[in-house]
Amino acid sequence: MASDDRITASKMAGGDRLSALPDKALERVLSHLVTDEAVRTSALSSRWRYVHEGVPVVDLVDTKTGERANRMDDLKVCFDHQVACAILGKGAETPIRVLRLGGVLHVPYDLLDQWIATAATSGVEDLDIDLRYDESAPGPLCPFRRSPDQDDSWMYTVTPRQTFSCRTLRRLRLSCWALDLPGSVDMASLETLHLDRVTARDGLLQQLLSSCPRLASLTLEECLAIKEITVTSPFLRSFAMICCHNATAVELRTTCLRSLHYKGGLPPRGPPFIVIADYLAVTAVRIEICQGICREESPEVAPVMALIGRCEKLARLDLCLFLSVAYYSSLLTSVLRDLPHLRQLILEGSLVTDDAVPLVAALLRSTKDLEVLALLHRGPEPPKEVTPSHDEANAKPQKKRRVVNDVTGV
Amino acid sequence: MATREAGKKMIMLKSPDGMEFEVEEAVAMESQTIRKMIEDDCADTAILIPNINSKILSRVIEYCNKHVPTTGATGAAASDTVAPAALAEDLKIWDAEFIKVNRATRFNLIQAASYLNIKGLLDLTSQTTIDTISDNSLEEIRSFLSTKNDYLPEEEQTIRRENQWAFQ
Repeated sequence: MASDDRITASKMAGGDRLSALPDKALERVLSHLVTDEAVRTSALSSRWRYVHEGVPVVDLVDTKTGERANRMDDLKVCFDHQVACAILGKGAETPIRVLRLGGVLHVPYDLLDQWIATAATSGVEDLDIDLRYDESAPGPLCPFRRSPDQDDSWMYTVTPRQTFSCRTLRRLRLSCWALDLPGSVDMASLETLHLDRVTARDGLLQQLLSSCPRLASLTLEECLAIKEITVTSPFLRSFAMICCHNATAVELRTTCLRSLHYKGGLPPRGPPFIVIADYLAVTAVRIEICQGICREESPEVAPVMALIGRCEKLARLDLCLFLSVAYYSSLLTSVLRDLPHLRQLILEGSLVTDDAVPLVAALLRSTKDLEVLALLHRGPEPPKEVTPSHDEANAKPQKKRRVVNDVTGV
Repeated sequence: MATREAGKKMIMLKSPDGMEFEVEEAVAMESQTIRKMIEDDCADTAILIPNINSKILSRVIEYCNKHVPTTGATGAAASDTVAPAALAEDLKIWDAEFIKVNRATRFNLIQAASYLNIKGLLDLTSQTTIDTISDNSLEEIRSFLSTKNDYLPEEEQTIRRENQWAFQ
């Protein structure tokens, strides 16, 4: 693409159209760049000299990979210094509306605190800080586990309290932090909250969620502190819970939820695992069951199907159960029959060729207005136990295939 | 393309090369600039859009037509009967197709989006431009933008020194 563009560039004698734009538009263009690249544009030409100073974004990624002290030769300017320069390099009139720091490794607590405080007083709207730790940090929680191999909560940096009393904040994403809250949490403008590997004392996460009256989008990822939660915001439109393996009950008191994404263990029988004040607003559901959970003899998919069935106005369904599609297809088709608005159906799972035709036919019969049907093959995880169960699981299809072979042989 | 539907208020947009486009008011109001004109009652019969030729203006209208229901939904929940999550993905695909234009058209679209103040279109066009200039050397970016380096060598040195952290 770039080379194509260069050819047209040489052909065109139209001059520099981009530079002709007003400062406001150029600032907008530069706000999509990481900050060091945006600052480098100052050397393009005099037109670009000061444009970067008006960009209300600090967006930097910590690229160093090792110890901070021992590798000074490799580190030209350390990350702390880059962030400070980026903040100080803004024009006097330029607020910091976005502070996005990725892969931050071993930055002293007081510095993190300072950066966030500076952004908060400047009226930050989007705060996104993704911390990382040494290799000693545990890996992901899936295949399904309820806790990391070792307790990692001690190593997480504690969230600076002023983060949670910033009234201008509209979007907050925290990755790998230990949650701490001030006495009074004030997140009056917060619309999007994404917590990824955030540890918290009992009840603290709930307190945070209850203090976000305008929350429209919530994503909780690998937050093991979550057991029972209630989201009180009546404006919640999108909810995602991914690998919060200790969660037992979720209540969403919203009547305008559009999109629901759940990834985790199979919900148990009994009272619904996810309760929504109004299921009829939900138009998109994605359910993924974590790998490693479906090894039991007969995994219970009825509660999942019941949840889908309650969302009567569903238009798009993504289902990834890591099971043979044939195993739950009859239950699924009976649920789909009562979803007249369904347009897109994406099924991920193992699908044996012999079963495919009758199965797809049954699916299509029960979904009259379907526009998109995607079947993605995902093999089941090889069982960890010894062979008997493996043979059992595969016995049927193999027999069938043999029958087919015999027939063709005859 | 704009369709005339009974009961919907229509607005006439005129490009400087004399073409006229009749669009629904709601579609035109995707542009904050036009919205302001309408709200201030400066738009009685037709609105002349200066600096944006008919080819670009028709593409801008195409964009607004596609994007009107979802952005309209943030204010009033009445109009959103479609699935936003599924729709958002469709829109992304549509946007990706929409922006497959040559560089000159893209810069024209940025200019138009900037003048008409259409946030979504400005972000889309900016992002695409950024994707092509990101990770390139200054010299490459200059050639891509056909910008002349009008600095004296010592001036450029000073600028680099001022923001040394970004130039390593």
